[in-house]
Amino acid sequence: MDTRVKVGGLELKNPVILASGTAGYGVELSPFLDLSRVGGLVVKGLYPYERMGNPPPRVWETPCGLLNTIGLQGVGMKRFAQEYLPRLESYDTSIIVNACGEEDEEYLQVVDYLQEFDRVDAFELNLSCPNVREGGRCPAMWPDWSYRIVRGARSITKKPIWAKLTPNTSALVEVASACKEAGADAVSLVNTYLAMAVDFRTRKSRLSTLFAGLSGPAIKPLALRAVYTVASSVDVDVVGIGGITTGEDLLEFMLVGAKAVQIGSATLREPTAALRILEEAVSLLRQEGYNNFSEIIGRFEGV
Amino acid sequence: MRFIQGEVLENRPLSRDFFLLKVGGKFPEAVPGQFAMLFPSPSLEPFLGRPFGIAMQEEDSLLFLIKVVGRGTFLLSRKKEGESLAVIAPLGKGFSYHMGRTLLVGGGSGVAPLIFLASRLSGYTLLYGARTKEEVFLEAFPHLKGRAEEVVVVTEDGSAGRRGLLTQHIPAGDFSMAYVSGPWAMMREFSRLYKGEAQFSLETRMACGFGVCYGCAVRIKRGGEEKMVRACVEGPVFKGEEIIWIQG
Repeated sequence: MDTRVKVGGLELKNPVILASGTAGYGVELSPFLDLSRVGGLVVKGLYPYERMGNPPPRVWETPCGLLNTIGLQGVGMKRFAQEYLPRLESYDTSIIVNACGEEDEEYLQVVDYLQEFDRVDAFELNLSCPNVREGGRCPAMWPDWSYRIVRGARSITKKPIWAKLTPNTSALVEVASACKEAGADAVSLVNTYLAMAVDFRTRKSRLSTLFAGLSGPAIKPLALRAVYTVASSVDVDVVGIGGITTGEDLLEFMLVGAKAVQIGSATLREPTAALRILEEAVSLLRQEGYNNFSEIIGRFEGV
Repeated sequence: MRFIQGEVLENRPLSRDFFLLKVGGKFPEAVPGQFAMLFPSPSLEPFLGRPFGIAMQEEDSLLFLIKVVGRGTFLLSRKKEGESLAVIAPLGKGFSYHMGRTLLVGGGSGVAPLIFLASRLSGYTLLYGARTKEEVFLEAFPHLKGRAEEVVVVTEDGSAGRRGLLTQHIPAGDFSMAYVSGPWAMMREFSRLYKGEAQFSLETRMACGFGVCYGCAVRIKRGGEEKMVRACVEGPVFKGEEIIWIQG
């Protein structure tokens, strides 16, 4: 079966992408899974500099998912380019750099620095990073703020730009629309849902921060709605993310309009999840008489 | 490290809360101090694997000493012989061996990696702490005593060996290395009292266990600076002088 898909300025060999934050910089997963078999890899979020992230405890399991407050620990753009990018050279897959910033300027520094490297195929602007000056709020909560960052990146690079959106906003559609208008080639959604875990005995948070991000199958129905809402009202490519653990999950996201999907938390419980999900989706499509993924994208028929 | 659908070869209760789980599979060779992720459920609930120090490796099997502390460990305690069980192993960085007289310090379920380590050493002093005599598993692992020069058992209720906390009974002696594994508070107190060289197997909350999520990171001192490192890759065994005991 022809598994290729076109999404956000890229042609991927298949619609299964490893999501940022659950695949490290790719090389950590390579003992388990041949990176050349996935459609793409979004590397762990990169700032212009190295970051320590949040203190422990950083994770807490929830029903069918988990909360995390890693706090975007990372090696920074320079060490990534020197130490990791060369090791990704030999894999035949799209490399997408997840760019972060505590301030708007920092996103642009990451794009500016890493666009020089041929092995970087596209950027995913993580518009869900807590912003220092804005008391931890993130750009993707507001259309105008998202617009400014995407616009800035667009003026720097010709490589495809995706904007990764937070569901923690009442303006999701407006934000997606602003990203498109600013020149984004795709929006990827959703990032984690803000949530919390409380320890009754100590009367404190289970984690080192008050709020943390919820991911995993627990959020799948919420993510599906978010993807449907954006895909059906904004003329922009959507990359679906949120609790996908099976091939059928993947096809549901594509039906409501996603042109590709990202696999996140599933990798944590099954390092080879992305490949299994792809195989399951392909065999389901075949069983139902489809010839490729394009035949189901956006073909949801409602109630 | 390898992700394997293993098979439960044996599941034997050792006390009310502890059980021994033997899992068959073609695992690469492990080093004492390394650990495995065991997945309590093939369904999505509970979602994550659970990390356990490897208590012994035999040809084509790994042995685990597990205490039931929650839902995941409870489900593992109910696994039947012949059932399949997903495992990722071996993971992390284990103990590095030292010549000479060594001290093995294990508390509760933390004793697991020391059981494996003891099979590679001899003439050590073992300091074994447990709540009560039912939780001292010297008979289940005869080599622990057999290869030791001295065994000091400490139970909180005094039902076996000396009474009190393990850290109140640290043997005097000129040890070239102490290998310590147990609850964080015990190890922290041990490090305060014990001045010799030591390696600690840290217990942290983990999500993936193989280095992609950074959920298990701990703050350590290394090369004159503080950094966050993943307990699952750079650990779980760390040198005593590297560990920052108050993480917050």
